[in-house]
Amino acid sequence: MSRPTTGLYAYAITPTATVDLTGVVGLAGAAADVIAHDRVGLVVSDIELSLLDEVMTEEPTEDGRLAVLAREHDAVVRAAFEQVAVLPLRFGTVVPDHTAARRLLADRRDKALAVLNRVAGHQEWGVKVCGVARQPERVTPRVNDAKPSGTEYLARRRTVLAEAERREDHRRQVLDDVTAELAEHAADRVSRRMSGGDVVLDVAYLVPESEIAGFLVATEGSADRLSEHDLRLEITGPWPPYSFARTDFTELSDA
Amino acid sequence: MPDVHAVAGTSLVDLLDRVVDRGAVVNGDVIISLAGVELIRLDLRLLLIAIDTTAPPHSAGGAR
Repeated sequence: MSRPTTGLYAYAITPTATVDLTGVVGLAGAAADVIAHDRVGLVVSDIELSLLDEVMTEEPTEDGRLAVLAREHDAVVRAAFEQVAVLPLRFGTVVPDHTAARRLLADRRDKALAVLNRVAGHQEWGVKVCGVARQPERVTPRVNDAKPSGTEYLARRRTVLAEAERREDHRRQVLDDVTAELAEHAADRVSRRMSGGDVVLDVAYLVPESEIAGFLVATEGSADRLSEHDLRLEITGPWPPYSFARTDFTELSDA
Repeated sequence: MPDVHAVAGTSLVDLLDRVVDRGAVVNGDVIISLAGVELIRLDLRLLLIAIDTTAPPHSAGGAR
């Protein structure tokens, strides 16, 4: 079998095929469309498979190929998300043709509808907290002490370490309080992999539309409290529910 | 109602982490196998970008 050179790039599954994607373009400017099967939809656009060649082995940069493609992918998912619930698919999902697209929907319909039902009417919001870990202060001899005795030195050192530990415990407590408080406005949350640097917390919240105002007010209060502990809260959103499409279609439900 | 369409401070890391590393995984015979594209986790490379983009600007010329 010869390797195909074109296919259909799939962005998301929707609980209805009634999505107006007129004028919406996806990867490489291809027009987005919805393929229907049994009242569920698959959002797709035509793709030359060479477009994705080697894309993951290149160094990712702000204006690199992967960044451009990821933004194009996101734009289509968002266009659908503004109208209906979406189950976003992982970047790089490509099917050969319309027949395969409909089979994808037929095989995964029930599982997809279960996830769509859970995320419908919700938005994903990302909350990241960054800070600089404080180092315990060093034990410095007092000027008027010629030289502290071993006992004095150890006692002082213990005091300094205990103080640092207390501060760290307090900070941890504030972080726990903040995550719990934000969770009150959310239907679900998922801790995201730490993206490095000085990130101490990275959580995605699935927020019902009716709770968004309350959630945002809570993040403002949280940001103020965290800033007292040298922590900075960053919020991103709204996102389509990327972090809550935790469905693995590897095993089909109707098998 | 706040302006929920204001995506504040969305970095490339946040975007890639969601678009490339999240989302439902579909595989099986309906999927075209694109060498190295699907099912790849970007952990290490994302980590590298994160460190690049979170480094304070004034440290750019610092000693290595």
